[in-house]
Amino acid sequence: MKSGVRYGVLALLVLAALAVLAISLSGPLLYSLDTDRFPSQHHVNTNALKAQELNSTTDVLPLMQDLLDYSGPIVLNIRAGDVEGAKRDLEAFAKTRRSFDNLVLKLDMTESEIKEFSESQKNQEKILSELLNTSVTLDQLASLEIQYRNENNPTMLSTIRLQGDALKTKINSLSEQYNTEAQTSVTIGKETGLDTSSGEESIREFREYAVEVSSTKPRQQLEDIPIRRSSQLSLLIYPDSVRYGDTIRCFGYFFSQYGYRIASTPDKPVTLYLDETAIGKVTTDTTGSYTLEFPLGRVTPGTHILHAESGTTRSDQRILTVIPIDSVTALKVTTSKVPGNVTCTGTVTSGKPVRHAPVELVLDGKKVKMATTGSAGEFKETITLPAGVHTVQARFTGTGYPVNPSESEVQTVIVPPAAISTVIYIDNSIFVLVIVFIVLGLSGAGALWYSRRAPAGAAPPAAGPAGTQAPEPEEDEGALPDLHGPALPAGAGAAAESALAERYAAILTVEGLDAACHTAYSDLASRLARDHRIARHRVLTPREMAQSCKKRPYCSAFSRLVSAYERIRYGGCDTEPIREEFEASMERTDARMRGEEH
Amino acid sequence: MRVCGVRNIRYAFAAAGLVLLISALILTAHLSTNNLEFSQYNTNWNGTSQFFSGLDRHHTVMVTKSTQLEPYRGEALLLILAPYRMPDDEEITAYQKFLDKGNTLLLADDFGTGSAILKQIGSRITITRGNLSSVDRQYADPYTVVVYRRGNSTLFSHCNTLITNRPAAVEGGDAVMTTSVLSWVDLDGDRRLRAPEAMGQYTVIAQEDISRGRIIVISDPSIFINTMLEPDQPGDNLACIQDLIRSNRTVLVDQMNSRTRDTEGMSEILHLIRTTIPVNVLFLTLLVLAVAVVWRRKMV
Repeated sequence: MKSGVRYGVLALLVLAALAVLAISLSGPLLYSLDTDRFPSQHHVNTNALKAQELNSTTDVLPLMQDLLDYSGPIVLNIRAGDVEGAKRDLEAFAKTRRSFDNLVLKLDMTESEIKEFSESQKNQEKILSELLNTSVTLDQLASLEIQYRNENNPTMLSTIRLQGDALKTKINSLSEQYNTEAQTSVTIGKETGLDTSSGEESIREFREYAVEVSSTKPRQQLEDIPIRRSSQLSLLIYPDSVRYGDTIRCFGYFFSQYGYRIASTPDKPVTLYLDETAIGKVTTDTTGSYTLEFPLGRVTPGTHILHAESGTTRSDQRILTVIPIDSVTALKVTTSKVPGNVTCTGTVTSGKPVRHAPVELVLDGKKVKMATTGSAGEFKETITLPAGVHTVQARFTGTGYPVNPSESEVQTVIVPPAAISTVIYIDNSIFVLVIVFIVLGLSGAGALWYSRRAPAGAAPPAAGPAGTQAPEPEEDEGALPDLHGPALPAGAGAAAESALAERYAAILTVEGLDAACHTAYSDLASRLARDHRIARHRVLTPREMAQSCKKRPYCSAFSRLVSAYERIRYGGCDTEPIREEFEASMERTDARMRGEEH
Repeated sequence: MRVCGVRNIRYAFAAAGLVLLISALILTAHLSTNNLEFSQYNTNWNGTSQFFSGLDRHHTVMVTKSTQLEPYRGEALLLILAPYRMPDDEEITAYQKFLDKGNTLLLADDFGTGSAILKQIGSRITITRGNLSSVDRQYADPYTVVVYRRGNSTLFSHCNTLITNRPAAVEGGDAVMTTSVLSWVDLDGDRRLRAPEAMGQYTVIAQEDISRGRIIVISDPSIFINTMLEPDQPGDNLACIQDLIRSNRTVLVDQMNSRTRDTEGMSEILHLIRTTIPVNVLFLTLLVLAVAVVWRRKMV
């Protein structure tokens, strides 16, 4: 590259560097807050947050006052039968309570007071919500009682009465709970100087409502109108308290009255009802008896009525108590060959398999699919997940079953992302190691080939005319000086071959044996180097040159020449025998080299 | 006159060389960092360069192979910060053996594979999903939760108040540091409390003894990032970290599964050359070859 171009490139680079520095002079920060806003799911830049201030604490007390004020009207509305009004107030109460919990303020109140107040409000909301639902149900039962009384349906009337009694007990229990919880809020409110009269009013209203409901007298019983029956159907059940999966055995007799004689009636169809729903049919045997067994399946826990019918003949009612039991939901998640697809398998059991039950599959806290258990309580469903770490859980809600809800352990699933920017540590990879060594081997071989290759610039100079001094090879910077003087051109022809002896003789006459044998050695060494492709042969000693000569007919002669050359050149021997020995070996070497070349 | 001109040119060359050298150094420094989350090569606010530069090199070992865990008995502390992948069976076994020998394993993770790793190791501690939020916070963001010491742990003896940055919640184990009661898990990510989110006291650091060893779980790896270790950061964050790394025990830093090893671009190339032996050898070989070529050219 010309020096002008070189200077130009250098100047351009310097100017570019200075220009970049000048541009960034106004904002020299490489990493400023403005440029460092990386959205992250792991953290936020606190330096950016330091500029914002926290809010004050004064909004807490008005919200607490609202909470205290809301609870009173709810109970009052329920008591007055204004369900819609109670619902509206309950909704507002819940909203305010959440607002309270949403407060992101540092509070002056002690932690335990806030915790207590917050929990008390939460419990009150729950109690009031239950009261509202119970009250509504109680009203509906009252309407149904009138209906079944008109229909003269003793079975349903009994059911309704049982349920009504349970609800009244529940309201009494709720009243006691509410009294405790609301009293806590009132106490804390008084301590912080709030007006608690509304809260106290609500406690009083609730208590009075509970007393009112409990003291409601049962309406007049149905008149027991004797039904003249020509036939009778008995029913016994065993056991009368059951759990999910238990087998209930129902049996009885169908018999008719013939005059004053009672006789069993065979082949009569009998239908068994659970809460007015037919659950099985059977026919009486020759003795008029029947037996029907059925496993308890999807039946809500609590009290149920069983009775049997055959035509217009109806048995007495039997009460069946269904006791809820705990369940266990198991889940196993396996990945499939399709990327992102996972298979969820599991079971729902409660001692026995829970059959044909719905199971919710929850992905990262959200319901994504419904599965249904089989006859062995097992379920299997496939869901597709995006890349990332996910949690999967199976939930059995227990709705409609006498089995308590359960959920499986949370399973973590890792779906590998498309690409992860990370360093690949290749220490452990044999494959990569093999590749590295192959590359190394190839590099070594290449280097070897490159270093052994005859340099293009090292080709021997062309032979000059006989008797003339061969041109000096161009010397590189740092190369050692030629200790052996100018070399004769390697002969391509007879002129070059005869030149060695002539030049030797000429130099011998003029400069002496030392200079003459050096000239001859240099000439022969150059030819040997070319023949053996030895680069920079001039840095090698004569002995090294002799050792480099291999598998050539002139090697032994050249070795003898070197031996004589060393004695003359370095030993200072200038005797006739030595000279003759040198000349003989020179001619032999020269002749054999020529023979080799030809 | 001519002599004077030559001298001017030499000065100009020297100045130009200096400018280019400084530019090259700045460029290298600029390119050798990155902005990857938790990367030890990231000098930005979200990197962990400050934590790693504070490690005592005489007592710290970067663990890139599970076999490196074998020699330690009793006093070593293994840090697994922000794991991003599930360790293989060999690594899990190595972790278990590490604990069996009475060592301590500290796992810091919020939304990564921490929970799955804990389960595989046999711990009962789990990290729940969802951002832990609190009224009791340090900055104008409910995710900067302040947590307080509730239990004893030798590793956090000077750590009474810790400022966290988008932590998760920990379940199980013995609580070491917890939030105040005005805290909730923000499941829907709206920074507001909505059903079914509930206020309560949540654990952020928990510990559990397994076999002869101990597992400590921190549900916020962000306490190790640069912005949380600034000197003006309130709380005992710096003291907490120094408690961890300034003891006489050997600190092992997991580089098999941690995001702290992440690199990209020039940083990745420099890191590869520096840390990977085969690449190191290859690089040296290429250098030797280049020198050989230059030498050859000079020779010819």
